[in-house]
Amino acid sequence: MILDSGDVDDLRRAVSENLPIRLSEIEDLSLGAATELAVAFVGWREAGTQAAMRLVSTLSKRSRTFDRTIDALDGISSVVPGDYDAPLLDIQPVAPSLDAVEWLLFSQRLRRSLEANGGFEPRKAMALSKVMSELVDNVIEHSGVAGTTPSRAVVGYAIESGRMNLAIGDVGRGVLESLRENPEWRERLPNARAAIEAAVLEHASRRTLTGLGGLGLRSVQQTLVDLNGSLRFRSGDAALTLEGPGQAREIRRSHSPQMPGFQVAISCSTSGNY
Amino acid sequence: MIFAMGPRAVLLPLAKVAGEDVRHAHGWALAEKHAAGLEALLAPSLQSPNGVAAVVDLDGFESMSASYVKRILVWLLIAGERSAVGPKGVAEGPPAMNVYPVIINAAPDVREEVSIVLEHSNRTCFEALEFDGTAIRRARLVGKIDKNLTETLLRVLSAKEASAPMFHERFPDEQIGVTAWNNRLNELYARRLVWRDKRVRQFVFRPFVEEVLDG
Repeated sequence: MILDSGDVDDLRRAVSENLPIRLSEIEDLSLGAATELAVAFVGWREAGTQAAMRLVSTLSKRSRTFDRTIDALDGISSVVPGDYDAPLLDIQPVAPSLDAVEWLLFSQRLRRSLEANGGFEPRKAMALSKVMSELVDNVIEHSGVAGTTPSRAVVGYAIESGRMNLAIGDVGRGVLESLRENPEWRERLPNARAAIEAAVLEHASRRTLTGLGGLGLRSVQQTLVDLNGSLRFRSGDAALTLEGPGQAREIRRSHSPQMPGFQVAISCSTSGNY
Repeated sequence: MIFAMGPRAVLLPLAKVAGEDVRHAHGWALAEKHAAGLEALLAPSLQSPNGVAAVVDLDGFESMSASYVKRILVWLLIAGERSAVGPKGVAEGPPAMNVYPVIINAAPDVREEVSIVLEHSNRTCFEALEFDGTAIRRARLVGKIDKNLTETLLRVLSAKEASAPMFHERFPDEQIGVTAWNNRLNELYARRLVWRDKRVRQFVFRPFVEEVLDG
């Protein structure tokens, strides 16, 4: 079986409640699942949770996606593609110290791979690379307290014929704390679920200065509307999933065991079936 | 010639700052880098007494992300607003600069992104359609602006210069008080769509583009 993000919620619950986990059934992880599990691993490693360490060790041998995601979250770029490559899998640390040019190259690789390997039209490939940039900006902007260094984070994409997965995750303060920096939102957000909904559905921003914030997640959604994608946003103890095209988009809210940061997973295909 | 006294128009070729291979400008980090280059081009003109019409040339770009537009264009608009009305107690964002941001040569996708970003931020700027290097001959509005302000702008263009008492006297049937005219004109100035100077004790507002296409 290939774990997806929802399965990772169950897996994390099992770890925290010390329940048996049938590892033999897990063959691989989706990119979104790998990102969420890597963020969980950071906490487990600091707490020295032995069962979790065994789980992670086994899975990282079985899944190169997971292995590379853990490396990237630790700031290690285990595979550095060439400037003109179009890799099927590209997972990199989001380090604010990286030169803007490195992000430009990452964005160009994504676009090339979407066209060459995924069969996406150039216009859609361009829109999806914009989505990636918006999400990276979001991490840099919101994962740390204003004016401080952003938290550790990872961004990656996996492309196959007619299909793309994109994931980004940080171990920072999460959406609730970030939005509460804005007095306009402080009193209106009782919990992480309300904060995710405000950020995703109402385009709330930590910034008080109108115009410099709050649009990133809207453009992400707008792009995915046209592509009939699936989006999962996770922060604190809440997750929000949007699935389906345009007006028919289904919104699902779910509980996700408490974890730091903000994670986003996107899946879409050229056929419209994700 | 009224334009001789207005903001000095300066063409800022963004592609030159970005480098030839950047056709897709995405992300705040890249915009930060390019903004530094743009501001260096702009700096020598900032001493102009009536400010600078910063004509940002978007030629060569096929797409831009919202973050990129925010850092390059909205940032300049906020800098201009702040020179007109002050920072209003908000510390974040750019320092005040007496600029009147204008875009030119935007590809359709880029124009669409600029429009979305400006509408979201409740701001407007001119898109120059004819610029001869010193004066903006024709332009249209991009972004969000209410009908009353658009009408006021068109009247300023038609009159070549305007003040609140002048418009109050010229349009007596409209039941718009001097204060209301003053508010509208000052808002156009804060939005960097007209410039102003002081004549004796009153502000006179003037256009810095010759013709604006409505709609």
